[in-house]
Amino acid sequence: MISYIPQWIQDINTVMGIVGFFITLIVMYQVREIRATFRARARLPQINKELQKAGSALNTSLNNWPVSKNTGHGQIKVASSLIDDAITFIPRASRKKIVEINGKLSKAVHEFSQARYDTPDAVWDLYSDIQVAITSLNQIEKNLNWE
Amino acid sequence: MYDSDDKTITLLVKLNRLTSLGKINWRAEPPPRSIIRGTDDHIPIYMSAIYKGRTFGLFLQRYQSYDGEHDRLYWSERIVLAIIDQEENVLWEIENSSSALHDLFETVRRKVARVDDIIDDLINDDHDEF
Repeated sequence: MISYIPQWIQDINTVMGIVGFFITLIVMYQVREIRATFRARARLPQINKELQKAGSALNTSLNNWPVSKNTGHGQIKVASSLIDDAITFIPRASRKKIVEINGKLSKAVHEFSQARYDTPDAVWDLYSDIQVAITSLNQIEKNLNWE
Repeated sequence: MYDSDDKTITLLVKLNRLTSLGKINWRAEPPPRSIIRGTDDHIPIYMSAIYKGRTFGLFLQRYQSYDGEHDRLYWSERIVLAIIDQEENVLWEIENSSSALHDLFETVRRKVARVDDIIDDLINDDHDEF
């Protein structure tokens, strides 16, 4: 079959097709990132508010330890699941500290029947970690407003 | 997160923990003049404690702000933790809206008002009546 289009135009067409494919991949990745940023902007303030409530409830339980040990355990579970949820929304670069804190909370949730949690000392450390997580999430929220 | 935030939280949690354990005793008293002089601010509650030779003041401060859009003043409130010197000057203060500061305020207010004693007392009264 006779081709009326010169070979060099066909070569450019092939190259543009390959470049276009990569641009499509980049655009898809960016759309995903933008979607994640919008979700994070909407959800993080809500999660952080709930986390503050869980922290305050744990603080109240700590003032009445070990009578309120079960309530405290419940609040640590709540805090752990909220942080777990938050991790899916926050940018990768900011995850390290939050993931570390969540590891400590999850471990405590499973080991709460141990004697070390009969006194409030170990739980105060967890309360402190929750407060650090709240402050980190606040900073992430502020950064997201500029993205 | 910034290091200064970490340090502030560590201080707030430590004060909260020591207050809860009864190792720091707070008492309600009138606010130092340096805090209220020259302002229209209202301090409904001021509590102070001495820890490691430093005097801490913890208080609720109601202050007025201006709303330019509606051309009116409105009241807001914030919790402040301050380090006070012997002449009652404010050397340093934390006035952010962190939940650690709110929790410290709640613990201190509960201790100063002896809320737990009052509740225990009321519960015991109920038992006596039965």
